[in-house]
Amino acid sequence: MEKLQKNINSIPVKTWNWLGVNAAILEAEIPVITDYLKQPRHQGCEKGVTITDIRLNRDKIKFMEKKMDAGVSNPMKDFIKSNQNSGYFIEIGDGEKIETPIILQYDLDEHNPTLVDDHFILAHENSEATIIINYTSSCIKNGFHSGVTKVFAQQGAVVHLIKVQMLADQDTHIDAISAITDENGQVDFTLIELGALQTITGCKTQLAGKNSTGTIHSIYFGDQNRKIDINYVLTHQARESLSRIEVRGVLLDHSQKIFRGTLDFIKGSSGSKGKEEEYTVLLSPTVRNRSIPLMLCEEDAVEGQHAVSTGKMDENKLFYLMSRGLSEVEAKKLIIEASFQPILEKIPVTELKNTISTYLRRRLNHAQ
Amino acid sequence: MDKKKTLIEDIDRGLYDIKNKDRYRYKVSKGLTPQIVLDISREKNDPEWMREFRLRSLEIYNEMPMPAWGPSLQELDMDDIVTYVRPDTEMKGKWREVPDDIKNTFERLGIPQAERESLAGVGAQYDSEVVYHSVKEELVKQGVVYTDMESALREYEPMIKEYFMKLVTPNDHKFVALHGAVWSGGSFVYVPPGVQVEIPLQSYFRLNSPGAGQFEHTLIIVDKGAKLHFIEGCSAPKYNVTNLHAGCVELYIKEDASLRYSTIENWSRNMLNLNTKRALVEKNGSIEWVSGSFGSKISMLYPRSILKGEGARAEFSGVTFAAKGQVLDTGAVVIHAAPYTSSNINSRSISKGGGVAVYRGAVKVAPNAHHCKSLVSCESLMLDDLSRSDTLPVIDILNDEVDIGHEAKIGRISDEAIFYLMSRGISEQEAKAMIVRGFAEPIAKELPLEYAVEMNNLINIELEGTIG
Repeated sequence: MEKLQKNINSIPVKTWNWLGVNAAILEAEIPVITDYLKQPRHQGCEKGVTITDIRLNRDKIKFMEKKMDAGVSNPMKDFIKSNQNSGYFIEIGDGEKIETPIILQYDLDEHNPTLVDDHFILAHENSEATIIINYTSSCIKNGFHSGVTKVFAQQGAVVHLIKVQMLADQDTHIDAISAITDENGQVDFTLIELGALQTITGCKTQLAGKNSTGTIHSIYFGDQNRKIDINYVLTHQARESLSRIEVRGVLLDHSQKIFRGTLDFIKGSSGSKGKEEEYTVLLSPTVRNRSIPLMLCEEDAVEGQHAVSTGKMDENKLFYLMSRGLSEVEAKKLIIEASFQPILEKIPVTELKNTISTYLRRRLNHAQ
Repeated sequence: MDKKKTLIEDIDRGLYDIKNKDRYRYKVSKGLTPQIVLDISREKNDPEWMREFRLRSLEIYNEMPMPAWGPSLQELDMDDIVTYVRPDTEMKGKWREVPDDIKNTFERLGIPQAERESLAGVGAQYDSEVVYHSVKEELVKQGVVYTDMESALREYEPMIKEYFMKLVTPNDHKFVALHGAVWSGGSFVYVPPGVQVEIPLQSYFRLNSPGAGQFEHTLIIVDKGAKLHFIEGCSAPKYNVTNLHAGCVELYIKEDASLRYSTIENWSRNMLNLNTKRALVEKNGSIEWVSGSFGSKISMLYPRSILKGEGARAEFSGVTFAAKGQVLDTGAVVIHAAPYTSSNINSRSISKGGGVAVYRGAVKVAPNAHHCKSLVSCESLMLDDLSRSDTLPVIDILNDEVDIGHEAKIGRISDEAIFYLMSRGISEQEAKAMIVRGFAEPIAKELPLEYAVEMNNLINIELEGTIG
């Protein structure tokens, strides 16, 4: 079990040990995984999409998985394989443009406190789809989620995956995404990390096809004693590929966060462009905020950029809002919501967007 | 259109790779045992506490693992490194008494001329022993102490005992422990309160014996309200045997004092340069690092500034040029340990011909260090697709009253910039050269004149190749 809890979210290139940022350590004990009885979807086909139990498609997936990153450490991979209690193989047909988002809703509760999910999304040539996976929980203590989602965007396919995590305050969330793109393929990830006591989330995208695109837009919100560990890696393997990481976060109380964001331009990725940004607002003197924006490059004809900025809330903005009659707490809430808004806008389902806003507001109320 | 690559020739290292006949009279056996350390200590006439310190460091060295990160140090075999070589010459106070071949080497490196021109003193190190040393009279009058570490240990023992390896302790990492055990040579500078040393002090280090490591120790104390500019330069002849440099620099900057520490490292391309540099800055003091890394096979060099007093400041300007066969892993670390401290890191790296340039840095803000500011900016220029350039900064913040920014850019010479310059009538070759020079300019302008000239020459020679 020990190995399983270590070396999660390993940084692609190690740095000084004394900084404690080379990998994440899972603090909670891993509970016994029981059945998850509230499976979010029935299997079946609808308008160009086939959704089946992933276990029935192992042979088919194995072939594709070979050229993909596991997304998690080896012990974790084995753990997920042997403990998996949910998981879908979602196949988007050739040229199908799916208008309605495919939604997987997971809700942990007393009877279903553990979830280990393993998904594979295969978008065939020139198809388009939006998939939303939402994790919520009403567990009082020790809810546990661990899982991996793999995405394969074939030539010209566009996959927008939205993951929303609003687990309960004592829960553990270990989530990984591994994606690969063919020529002109595109994978966009919108990752909303708001709940759980410890969040360890990783996302690895290989831009393997010429002219392919990978983006990650994410927000995190740490308060109380929450620990958030993020590891995003975008690897440019092919010519003229495009990447973008945009992360916005707020930390208060005793919360801690480590953000690792890597843009890796490997040989053969000439003409590629990558951009990475992280903005963090710190609201309490007792937070701990660590950022490691990495850029690795072995190709000359590329453009890479990263920027990180951390600080207190802009006092001019606060002053302006307060001079308009808002209280300090209200003004702060407004500024935070406004900074999250561009990323929340990427969620196409109004209902979910509202749920997130309400959830955020409730948490921010506590924040004063 | 067929894109043309920028091909740049390796520089002519002739001047730096002159090697003299190996003249030594005492060489300890290879490998590192307590007996060797005791031998070194006896040769040095160490006081009791220093001998014990060396032995304790050796124990730590033997226990510590190799670093688990950074460039591979596989080729390093400590059993094969002669740690201590003493040249066949005693301390010389006058230049004319220095043996001719040693003198020639130094003269070719331009040290005596530099001294004649403007420098205050030269503490030149040949192999592991200080062979030539002079301090201008006016410095002595001001009460400034500038001497080699061995003499300092005799003449200023209480002060050395108080400061020696207290900032960089042997527990820090394996090579510092090694340094603690076998250190030899180096400079000691003490600037008394309120003294402004207007002319820069310079020391030039040089390795000359095959397989010899160099473990010089530099200790500088700039007392309250004083000011100093210290220049360290390195150049070594080329050898086939792996050479190790594990020096240590400790800088103490007291209240309201300021120190500028400039370095051009130009070791030969077989050198493993694992140097440790650290500054402790008290209230309203300031440290400025100016660093140029050009030579060596592998460099791991990250000057660390600890801002201990309120209002302390740190600045780092560094340029790294990694060519074929080189892995230059450099950067800067700043620890904000007090309120109202500020730091500014500006790093530029150029890689070509398969060279690897890495920026590795860290900015850490302690819980009590409110109202601190830090800005880190890294830019990397790739001159071809054989090379590699990585940026690995870490930012660790433990309170909320901070203003921290980090930005990094990577890329090649932009076609737009070339186009613009060419549209103004400049040739493509000159346009490219201008851009590369301009890229290093923010660092070059921080260097003292003769070093800036050396660096510009170096870049110019690199760019004289077939560009375009």
